[in-house]
Amino acid sequence: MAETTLPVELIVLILTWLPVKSLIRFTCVSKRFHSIILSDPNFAKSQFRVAHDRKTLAQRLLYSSTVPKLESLDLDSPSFKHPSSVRKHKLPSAPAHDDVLPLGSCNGIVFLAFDDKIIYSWNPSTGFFKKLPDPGFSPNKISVYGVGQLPATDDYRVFVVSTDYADDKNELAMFSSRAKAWKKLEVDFDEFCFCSNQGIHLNEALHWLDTSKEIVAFDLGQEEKHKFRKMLLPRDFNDGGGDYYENHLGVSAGGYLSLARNLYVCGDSVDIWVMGEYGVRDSWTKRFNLKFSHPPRQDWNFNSVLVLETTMVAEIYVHKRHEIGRGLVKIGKKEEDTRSMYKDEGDWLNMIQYQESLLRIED
Amino acid sequence: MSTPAENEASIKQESGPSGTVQDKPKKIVVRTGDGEVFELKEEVAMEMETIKTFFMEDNISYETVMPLTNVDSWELVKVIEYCSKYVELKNKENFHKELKAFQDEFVKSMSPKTLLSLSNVANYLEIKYFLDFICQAIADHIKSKDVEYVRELFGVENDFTEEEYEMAKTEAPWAHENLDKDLY
Repeated sequence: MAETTLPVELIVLILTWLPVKSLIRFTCVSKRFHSIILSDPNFAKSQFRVAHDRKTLAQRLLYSSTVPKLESLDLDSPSFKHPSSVRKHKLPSAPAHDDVLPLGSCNGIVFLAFDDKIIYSWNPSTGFFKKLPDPGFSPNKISVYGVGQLPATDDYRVFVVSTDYADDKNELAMFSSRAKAWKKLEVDFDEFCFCSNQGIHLNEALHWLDTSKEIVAFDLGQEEKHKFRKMLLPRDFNDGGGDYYENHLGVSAGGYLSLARNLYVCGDSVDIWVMGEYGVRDSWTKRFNLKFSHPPRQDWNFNSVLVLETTMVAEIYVHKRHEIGRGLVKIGKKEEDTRSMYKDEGDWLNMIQYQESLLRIED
Repeated sequence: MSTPAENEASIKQESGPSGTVQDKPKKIVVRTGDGEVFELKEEVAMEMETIKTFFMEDNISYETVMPLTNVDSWELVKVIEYCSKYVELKNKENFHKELKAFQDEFVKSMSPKTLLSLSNVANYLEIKYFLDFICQAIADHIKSKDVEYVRELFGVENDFTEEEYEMAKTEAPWAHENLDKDLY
């Protein structure tokens, strides 16, 4: 063809194949590019679908600190150690707050709770930031939470339990982006005692480990008569005799429920079990073992743990002489994959994993 | 019972618009914008929706030379090269692996402008898998380039004021780091 410039739809098609970081940069090319990339929901969906199918979605770790700040790290790059790989996030117009808690993320959209009461949806890559309606809780602590999606209706769900520890009362609610509203849930919750706050999203349900050594799941698509569902851990799982194990749920490569198990006191290796067939107890198999090859010499233990596809990220406490140091550790299958980053400032609150996308909750 | 002569006549009719004997591969003839005439194997030509529609829709005889005024001869050469290979590999066991190897060779020494021309042609001829491949190759090429490079490549004018540009940039400074420091 002669010296012609490309038709717009062809340029858009080319842009669809780009990763989010490049696209955000190219919003500065022209006003039209800015508009296509940031204000076109169809473009956002196409880009996400292409990256998802090619398995090129960029994975990041978001963590909040009491300083207060939000930062993220690239989970795909081998090195956690480089200070330049830390991305500092600015929230466009956050309410004044002391705490910010990431509740979870789905398709690149992160949900944040400010001071346990105001909840926003946020895309860390595009900066899109929108307040959710008030859940209507009494002023208490958000204790248990999770984020997921019902793909058939493109409906994002946010599940939150607000707990009054003094009176031992719980309020549960679930937000639907499609209904643009919260629904209070009348559900029996008192029988449970979860080991972690953050629900693991898989198969349109959230999952937590309960101290009674089973998995408790909540199906996000339930419309009424809401209830939790139980799933069993591998047989003979806690056969460690006198040893005390810590367990963490996650999702492994291929979309299987996984379980990381390590000795509570200074173990230097982690076993990863995978549930090959969802809901089938006998499909649990011990898949691999991750070695934490250079644990700190001082006493240390795991704090919060994220089990990812083939690695595990943990916040660890190191007990130094009169202080506690905190570090983020990435433990991979090969020794070279173990990377750590130690920081001493502030308290690290919570970590979630998110993918880079251009998606947002539409009006 | 038909006579041999009648049989031959009916065979001739069934062999299609080209009127040749049944077992000779059918060819489709096209003329590019710069006047060159190409003979394409039917199976390769049918990979291009635009050509397929032209002949199939109105049952046009294969004797017709289809004009491809928007395509230059060098471009068609490349398109034929890709589609022929694709058709050849399509049903093979190592399809993906062999296709990838071919793809890497195919784009190896192509300039960005060449890739853009080919994307235009792939779009015009409606060859989906070729279009996707070329677009992906262009995307891979520009993904670590800076804003100015992309403007030049696509011939896009900067309609931001200095201030607007700086503001857009400071919204996500991380997106402007670690770029290719090169080549135009």
